[in-house]
Amino acid sequence: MASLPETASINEDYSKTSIKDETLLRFEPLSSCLDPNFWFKVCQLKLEVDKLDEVHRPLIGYYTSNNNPYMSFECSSFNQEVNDETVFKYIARGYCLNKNTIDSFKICDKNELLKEFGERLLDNIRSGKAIEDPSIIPAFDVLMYTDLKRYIFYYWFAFPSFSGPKYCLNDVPTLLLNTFSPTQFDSLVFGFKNLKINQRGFFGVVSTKEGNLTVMTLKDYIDLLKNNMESDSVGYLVFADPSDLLNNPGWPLRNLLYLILFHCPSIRTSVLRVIALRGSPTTKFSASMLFNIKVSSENFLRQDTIKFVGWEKNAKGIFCPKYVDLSKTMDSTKQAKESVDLNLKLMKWRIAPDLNLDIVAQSKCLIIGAGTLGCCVARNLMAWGVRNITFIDNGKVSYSNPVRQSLYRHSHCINSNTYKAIAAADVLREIHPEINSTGVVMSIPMPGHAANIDDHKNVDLLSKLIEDHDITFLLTDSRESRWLPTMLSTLHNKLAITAALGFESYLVLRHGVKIQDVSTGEQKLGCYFCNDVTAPGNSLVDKTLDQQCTVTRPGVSNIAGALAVELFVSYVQLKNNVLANAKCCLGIIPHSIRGFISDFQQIIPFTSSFFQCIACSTIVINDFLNKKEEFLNNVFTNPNYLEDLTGLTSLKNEFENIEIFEINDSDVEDSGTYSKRL
Amino acid sequence: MSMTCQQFVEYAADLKNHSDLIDDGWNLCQYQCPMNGSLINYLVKKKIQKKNKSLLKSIHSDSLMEDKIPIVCEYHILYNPSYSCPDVFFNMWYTDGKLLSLEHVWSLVHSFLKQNVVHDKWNAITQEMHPFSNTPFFRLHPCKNTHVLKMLGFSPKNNYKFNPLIAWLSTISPLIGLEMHLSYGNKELKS
Repeated sequence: MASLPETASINEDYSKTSIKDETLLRFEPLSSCLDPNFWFKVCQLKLEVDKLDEVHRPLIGYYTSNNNPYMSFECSSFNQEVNDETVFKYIARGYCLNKNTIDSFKICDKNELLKEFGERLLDNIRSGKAIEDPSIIPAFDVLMYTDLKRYIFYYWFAFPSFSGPKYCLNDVPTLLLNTFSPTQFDSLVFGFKNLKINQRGFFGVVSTKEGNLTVMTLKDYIDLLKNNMESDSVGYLVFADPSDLLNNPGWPLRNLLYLILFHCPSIRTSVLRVIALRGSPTTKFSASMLFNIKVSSENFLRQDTIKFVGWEKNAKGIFCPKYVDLSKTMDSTKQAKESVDLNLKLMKWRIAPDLNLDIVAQSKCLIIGAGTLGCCVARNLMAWGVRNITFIDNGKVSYSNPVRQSLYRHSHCINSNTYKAIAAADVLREIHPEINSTGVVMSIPMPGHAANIDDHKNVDLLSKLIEDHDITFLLTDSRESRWLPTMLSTLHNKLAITAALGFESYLVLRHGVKIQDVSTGEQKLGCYFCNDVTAPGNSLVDKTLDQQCTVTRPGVSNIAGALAVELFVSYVQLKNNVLANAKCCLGIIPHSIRGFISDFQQIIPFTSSFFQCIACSTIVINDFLNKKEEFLNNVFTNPNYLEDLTGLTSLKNEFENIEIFEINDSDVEDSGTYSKRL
Repeated sequence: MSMTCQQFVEYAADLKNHSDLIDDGWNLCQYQCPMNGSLINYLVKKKIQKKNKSLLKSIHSDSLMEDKIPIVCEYHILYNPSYSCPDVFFNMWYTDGKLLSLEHVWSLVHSFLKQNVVHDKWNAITQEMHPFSNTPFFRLHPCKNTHVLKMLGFSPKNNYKFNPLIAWLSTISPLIGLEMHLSYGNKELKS
């Protein structure tokens, strides 16, 4: 027993010396090349078909003879039939083994596995199965683990082959053009095209008596070799060569030679003429090479000495599994985020290179009122790439809402169970999973609406919300509900944008924020209440139903909501003290926009803040800061308190005493809607 | 200045014929429209190209021994019925199946054109869903393809010695990292 290894080593020494004078034949290994859709199919199969089974799934690989030492795999690789009968591709059949856990992927014995792969190949060669179907000669196996949640894939390809025997070149390889005539090339191509796709990778050619060539399948060629008693080999063995190296044939030849030597022992001592097909049939394989090959060590057929090689090296050139993170392309959430961003970036490339999209995306937006306007504003903010949106509303979705309020469905109304703020936040995430949206169910404390038990608590909550956001959109349907948020956004010096609707008119207005630099002499711009010399009272009292609901032409809210968002996006392009009609990269930034649908007109007036304003004047803010409880109690219960506080009452009295002006009813119209022409 | 679908199919066949002569790998494929069952012809080329790793600043590049890494490039030339012009979709990926990011695709743009691409906004490469496979592909915006055809003096009524599809493709090829053999320029259009 002890003498066995010794003999082997002597043989090895012998073979080493014997090949000194000859050029040892080296094969160029194949590399795997995966199409992105290959991984999509892997995921689908693992989830829907294999599930927890670790099966050896048949796989088809494709390679070419065009200087490409790659075997490619795509989603159709999992099909059992080859649909694409193109003459440019050759097929290889192998298996895919998808492990269930990363541990079982790591732990399994790779040498043992390669031996298993190799023995399957050996069986196919011995049984003659590989002669019938040569597409199993360039065998391959892939071991993988797929992390389906994170879209991370570990995989390792093996192109199993036999480590021995060694082959050497009888002479320098030559171009086939030097041996074959153009007519012979023609018959080679003709014969090639008549072969079935699985026979095109490996076949034989023999010369006819007239000096022409006949192409035959591998099976026929081997039968011919077997019956050949002469020492010289007959014709040529042909294989499609993926190699891109001049003097080295590609990996598939390695298994082919083994197969030939196994079935035709007579040629082990003779020189084998091998044609490496290179190029394509359209160029008549003009780059093909002729290799004259002989065996340099012989004792390869003993079962116990067979060793296998073939694991693929990774990018660093080490025998080690590969790893790929495809979350960017495969994770639908990430993909949605990427495409939304890319779409917005297009604006920068083409139209507005200075556009600051980041500041828009980073802005935290508070939407007060999740109705027609709120839905429209949220959708437009989302289109601009805004990520953080909070809704405040106290209502539930009702049956009349979904047709006008774009975030709601009929299902939200059934059993009247869904709060608008919650539903709107949910739907936003449904539309774009990257959105960070929240719904707060809360009623806004309003002046003159008597005291509500939660009012004081809600004032604090609202104050906190406004402070935590960068911009507040005031989109409620009554004038008085805008008072508290207007005052609080002035207090925190945050931008607020109001949108208000009449039947066929709209107003969009940005509230002025504090001017930092007093030296410019510019005045702060007005708020929603600055031009109105009445304190908000209960505008819902003594109103008929059509006046209580916002009855508008449906398009009006879409126009106003969209304008509110566009105004905001333009506004944040400039850093501070945005004066009326200041210019940014997107154009001017008006203070207010008033539009009239009856004659499709729009104007952009601006006004300064009013020092006696009942919402944004210093008197009001200071009173709130100094004696909050008392101030709020007064405001909520006494409708005239704010007018008295700011001196509006005395101002009005003065006017009445003068009795010069004729007061038109429409000038003091309440509810904040500008239904009449100004 | 537009190309009819029929003209496109003729020019595409002509391009494919020349590609066959020089083994350039262009294939004519057909897609069956699920709406009406009609067959849509388009050109496809898939090629593994070695690209300089310095252009691809990514985790992929610093793990490599070699200066060049193989990138699979796939090009689809479709006919765009709304713009009446050819329309190019393309994708690039590493051999492990990971798609190149838009930034990397930009960096592969032929170096002397890079300045222009950054400044000339019409050249922008965008990412869109492929109309047939519904997977993300990069695309040159088609609206300027008609302009390129016009600049090349194409009009659907004229008879040309050259193939306008080849003229157009060779004009835009540096933008999409497509190498075109010079012999395309020597050939005359067979009618």
